[in-house]
Amino acid sequence: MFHLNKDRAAGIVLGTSFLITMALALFILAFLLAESLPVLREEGLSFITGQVWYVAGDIYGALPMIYGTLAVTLLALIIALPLGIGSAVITSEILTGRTRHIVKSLMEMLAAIPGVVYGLIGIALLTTSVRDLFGLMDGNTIFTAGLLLGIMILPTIMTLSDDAMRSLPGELRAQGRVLGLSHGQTIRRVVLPGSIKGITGAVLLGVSRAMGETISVMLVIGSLDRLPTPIYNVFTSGQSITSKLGREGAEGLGLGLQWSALAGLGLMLFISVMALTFTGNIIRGGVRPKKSKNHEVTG
Amino acid sequence: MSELFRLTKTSLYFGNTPVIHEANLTIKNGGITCIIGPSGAGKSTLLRSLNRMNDLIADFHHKGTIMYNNRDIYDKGLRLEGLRREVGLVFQKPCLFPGSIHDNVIFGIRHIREKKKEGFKVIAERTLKAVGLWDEVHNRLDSPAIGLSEGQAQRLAIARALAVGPKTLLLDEPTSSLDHRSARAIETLVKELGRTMTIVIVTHKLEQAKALADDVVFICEGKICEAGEAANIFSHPENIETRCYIEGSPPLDPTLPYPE
Amino acid sequence: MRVRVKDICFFSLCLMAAATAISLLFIIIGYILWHGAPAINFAFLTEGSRDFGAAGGVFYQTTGTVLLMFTAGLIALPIALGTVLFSHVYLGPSYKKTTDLFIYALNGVPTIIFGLLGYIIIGEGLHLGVSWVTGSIILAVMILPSMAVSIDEALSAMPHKYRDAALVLGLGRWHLIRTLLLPRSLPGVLTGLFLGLARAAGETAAIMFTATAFSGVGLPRGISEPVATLQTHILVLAGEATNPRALTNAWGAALILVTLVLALSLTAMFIRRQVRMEAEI
Repeated sequence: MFHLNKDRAAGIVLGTSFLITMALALFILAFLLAESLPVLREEGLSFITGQVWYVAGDIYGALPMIYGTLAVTLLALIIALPLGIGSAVITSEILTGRTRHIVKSLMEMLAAIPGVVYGLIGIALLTTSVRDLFGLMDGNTIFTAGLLLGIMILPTIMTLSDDAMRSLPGELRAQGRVLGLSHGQTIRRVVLPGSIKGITGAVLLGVSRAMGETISVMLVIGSLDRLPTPIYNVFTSGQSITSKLGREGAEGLGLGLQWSALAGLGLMLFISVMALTFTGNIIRGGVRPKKSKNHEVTG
Repeated sequence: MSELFRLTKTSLYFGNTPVIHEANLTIKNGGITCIIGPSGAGKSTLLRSLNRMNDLIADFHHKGTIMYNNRDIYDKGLRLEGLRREVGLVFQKPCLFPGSIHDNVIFGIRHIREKKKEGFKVIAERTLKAVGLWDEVHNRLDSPAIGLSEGQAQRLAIARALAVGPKTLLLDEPTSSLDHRSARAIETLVKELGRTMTIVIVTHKLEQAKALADDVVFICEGKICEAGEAANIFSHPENIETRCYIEGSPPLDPTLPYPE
Repeated sequence: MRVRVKDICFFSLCLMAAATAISLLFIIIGYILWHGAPAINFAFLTEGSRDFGAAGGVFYQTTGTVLLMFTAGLIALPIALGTVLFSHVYLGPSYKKTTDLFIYALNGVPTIIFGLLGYIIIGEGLHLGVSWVTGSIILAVMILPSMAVSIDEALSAMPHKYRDAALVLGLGRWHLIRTLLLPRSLPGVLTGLFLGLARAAGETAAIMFTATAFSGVGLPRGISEPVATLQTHILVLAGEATNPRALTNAWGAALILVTLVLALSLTAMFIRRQVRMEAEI
């Protein structure tokens, strides 16, 4: 008689879902690679170094987009890093119990607001303010996008830095105070250096979020496939990889070399974001900090 | 009497550290076998290996063979759940599940069809009576088990193990976290159970071993120093370490001459 | 004395940072309320849109967002649960790190990539087109990792002794799952579900090519039809920044969306906090 052990049956069902989950990330990578091969073969290195993206002429140079992504990410970091770590010092070292919990929850709410709503706020509030403040013709600039992204990744950097500082044992702080350091000195010389790994990890995860964000950037960056002159002039319209994918995705879906070029952009984005995510998680100390090691069943 | 467990050149490792080194041992069917020895000697590890509970520890592995009823317990065809149902184990500290006393007693049998036919209530009553807990809890079977005292909880844990219907019960220092009175109650219970089933109990209390044991296994530093009938070992220990341990003197420096 | 001055400066700077961060939230919420509230009325909530969204309401968009979100949750939840249970019960501890790495990798994939590939693989490859089902599958893949992480957290927080106590009674893997792990994972499942739903409801880039159509909006008649959503509605209206009526409707839609997403997130946070408090006892 055919008899399937319940344990084995459950194993097959659960194992299938497990394999699906595991296969997805690999599948995405493989697919992006395969789809971007034509453009890499056609353009070679000039896919990365080329400054012209001209669909009608089948010329695809992604440098303006690469520049745009790096620029908005850097700007976002310049804004979010001091704010995030400063606030984390307050929540982790000053606030306690209920107030701390409330402040952290508020930051999580900030993280939960959809990107498209941030984009709308960017259009209505940021572009006009940036335009008037800096006397520009057009407020849709790389700077505006960076500013908006900075606000969006602030909660990530803040909550993860807070976790990193909180995971430091209390004795270390006591030790600092015993040696005659003031509260502020203890934080600067003991707590911050002690949690530098966790904070670095937090920053990398924040950066990877900024790189991958699409809608809000797309709405305020101006969507111009051109390197600014001079190169550091972020008060001009630009284009990031994600905004390019968002703008041109619909027309280029699955069609010829243009699609391959878009897939190539996706591949670059995917690889950079993966590298940041992995490094961030590994620096943070294993994939998850503060978890016990032995929670599996082998018997 | 027939043998129940036979260990041949059994070594138990956590990572690269051997906790038990090349142990040869037989444990006979029926009666109470006490495993004694100084703390850290590997008593609990040895006990837990008898129904493969060490397998749950990440870096555990073993060498040599462990036979149960003339069958290798690491045999591929052997069902691990079946082994654990036949060879029950009670931990040092009772771990009760969230839920009522009744839920806890039948936790291990809820899914077994034959047991369901017999009736969970009947089984619960029988096992709770067997551990002497029935009179104390029969009118609050549905209240949370968390409210029980440590001693009651340990007896409930034994009842839970008995409900599965094991032929052998392994006990890992079951009284070490209990007060004197509760400990005595457990000892009486173990003595009683030893009449009908095989008991292997780890203890660091010499009085307990003397009171309970039919057989004694003495372990020190991962080796089986001596094993045999309790009466013999307690009166004529052959091994120096055993003798020192039993007489309560500190371990001898082997470089010194044997004191007469 | 110099130490004191330094400390005061340091703490003032940190305090300013925290104050800025918190006020950002209030400014953003306040701004959405201020602009969105005038648009909200009974007709806005219950009527379809007219004039390409510049007039009328957002009833179908709201329904579409909810439909997509729930379908995605329905697809993702069993797979996430199965994944975590498998890695806890069937796989050895040595696989744990690799498993986590893959889940985190999937979690890091930029959503626009889901949108592009999803259309090519599911929409064209499986001939499901721009539709409710295509969008739901893509969103399901997107929210799968965060669900898995929540469930995993709940199971990893369970003390070891419970598992040992169950296994020592001879419970098999399946019964271990049914009697111990499933009940224990429930809070994690709920947290993960609400977090996932919130993410799915707020996501635009992954579905703008794959699930939604702007004009001709109504309720989808089947899973192979496109749906209208609040997210893409806002996106399109945002492009018409010069038309004040369109912008008002965009703010109204944003207010509804933010309310929905924050309600889901707060529920998730509430459940998670209950679990943490219980775990500390």
